[in-house]
Amino acid sequence: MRGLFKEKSFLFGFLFIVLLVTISFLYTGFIKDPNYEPKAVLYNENQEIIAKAPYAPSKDFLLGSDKEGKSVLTNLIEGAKYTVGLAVLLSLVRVLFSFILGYLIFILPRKIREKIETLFDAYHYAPTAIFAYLLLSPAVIAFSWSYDEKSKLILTIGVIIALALPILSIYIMREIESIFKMEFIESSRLMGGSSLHIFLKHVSPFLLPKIVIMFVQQVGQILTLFAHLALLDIFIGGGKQMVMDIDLEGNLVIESFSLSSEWGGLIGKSWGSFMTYPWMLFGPILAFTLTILAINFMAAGVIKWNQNENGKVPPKKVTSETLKMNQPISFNRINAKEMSQ
Amino acid sequence: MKITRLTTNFLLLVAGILLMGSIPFLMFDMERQITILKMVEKKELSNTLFLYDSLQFNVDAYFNHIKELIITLLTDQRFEYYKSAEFHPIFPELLDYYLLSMKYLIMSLLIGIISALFLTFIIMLFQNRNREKVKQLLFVIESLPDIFLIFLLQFTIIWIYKKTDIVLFQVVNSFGKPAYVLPVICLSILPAVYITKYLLLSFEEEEGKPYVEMAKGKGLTRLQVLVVHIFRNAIITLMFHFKTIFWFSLSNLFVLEIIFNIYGIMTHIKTHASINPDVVTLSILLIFIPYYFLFQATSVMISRKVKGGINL
Repeated sequence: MRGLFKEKSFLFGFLFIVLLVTISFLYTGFIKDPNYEPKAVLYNENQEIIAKAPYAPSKDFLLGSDKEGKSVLTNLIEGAKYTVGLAVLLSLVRVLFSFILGYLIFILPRKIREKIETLFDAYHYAPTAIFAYLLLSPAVIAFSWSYDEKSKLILTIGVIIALALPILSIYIMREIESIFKMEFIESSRLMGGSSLHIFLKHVSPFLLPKIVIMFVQQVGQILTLFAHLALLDIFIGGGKQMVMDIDLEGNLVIESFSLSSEWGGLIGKSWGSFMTYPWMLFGPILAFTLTILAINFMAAGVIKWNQNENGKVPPKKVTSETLKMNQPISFNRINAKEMSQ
Repeated sequence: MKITRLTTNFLLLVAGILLMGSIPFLMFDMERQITILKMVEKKELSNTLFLYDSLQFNVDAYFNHIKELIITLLTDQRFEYYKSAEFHPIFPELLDYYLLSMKYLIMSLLIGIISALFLTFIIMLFQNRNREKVKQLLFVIESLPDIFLIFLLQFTIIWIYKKTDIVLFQVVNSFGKPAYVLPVICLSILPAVYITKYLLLSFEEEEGKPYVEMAKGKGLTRLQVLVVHIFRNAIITLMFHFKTIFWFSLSNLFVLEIIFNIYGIMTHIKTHASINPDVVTLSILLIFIPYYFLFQATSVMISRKVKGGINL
């Protein structure tokens, strides 16, 4: 493990994430003034209006402000712990479930296994966000009157976890399969090792690094999914409906506000006014980008570390050539990068 | 033998798409909800506060819907979708949006592949040390989320316009004037970077092989070896990754259509899929079927050319 922190890219990404979450907690716990009311209109000494929210980026509002007059930067800092925390948690559950599912698929007969692989391949013909939208939008958008907030939240979280399972479990199944093909498994079995013994002693050392890499990559994937879902008006933090205005025909103009300043919600609520107030959108997108970049650096670090660790035993360089020689690449082949999409 | 395998694969994939696309019918009582929506939109119902529904697990409705879908697919394809208190036919309207989206997708994939090839040739002519630097840069660009790149490009164009009054490219679709140049550029950046990464990997692999040594020994220049010999062998490996590249581009297309306000297949899904899950199922089928046949045809052609054949 110590070697991992020597990987510069991992350390860099890790420090960024830790710093971000710490600042977020410190801000909400200590720095934030609970009595502070955001001002939607700013006056000068003579009580003349000098500015109306949303304010453009300036010295007081580094990334501008939202329509209530709250600074975008503090919103982002507040939301960081929810966004990153949720992504890490969901990624953990995703990996755990797909490990179980992957093992279950692995013990199925080969014929059925291949069929399942092809069936799950149907996933590759639309972006994940579209599938998420398909499953979530009836409850969250179209018929939202029928479902209460709690079941909407459970549904959203469930769908985000479940969406990744087909691809991830197939990937884990392939990893287990390739480890079981190694020579020492056979030897261990001949020497009387039980299945459990083989799995714990011989398979898991090879599987564990792969799972760690997958976990880190999934955090990035979930963050991307949050951002994409925000484009489709679905936010995880839950939307508070607020009456903003009354239009000419007397209808209420309702906009949804994210409760916990979760970043996806921040994108969603500033989406409509992108042309007039681009900074409201720029802040959350920048936050997503930096965090995803940090996560990807971490993942690259873990991959490099794993290669170095393995390098101590026999050096095995996986290239597309070795793939070509050893195993026929079928139409449904999923490689590591693909899994991470 | 191969034909039967391909047919079962094809049918399984279609089944996968149908099973996935019908899940809303498993979880929600769609029919009842649409009836209520109709009443609301016709102003027969003014208050929905008393309505409550919980998530369900209705296997019957699920399989019934799949059965209906298959029957309609095989007979007259008269699918309908609900829009403002009425049912409209899905086809041929959907085809227009589909063709528009595919225009963007194919154009940018082509531009992506061509620019990736040029980029790879240029990078391959570098010294090893510089090559590593370029690779690191590619890694950073590849790690950026698509939403950031697309937003940034659009924002820059608007900013330039505000500062100088020069419209570099039409930024959003408006008043019947479609924006072409900027969306296609946006859409081709990430696939180009992605393809370059794979091409570099296989080019470098080929570079270490004996035939390259031999060609160099015969006195061919670096560029000649690269363009004539290595290129032919390396390009085939691109096929292994093509499905990933395609998927990746589809995701970019989705972000692009929404940010650029292009009314293509993804925007159509965004507008109508929440009430009509069939729109998604049919759109995915439209994307999948031509792609599958093209991909299989290309892989057959390639395996005929390559001695020993490759199983793609």
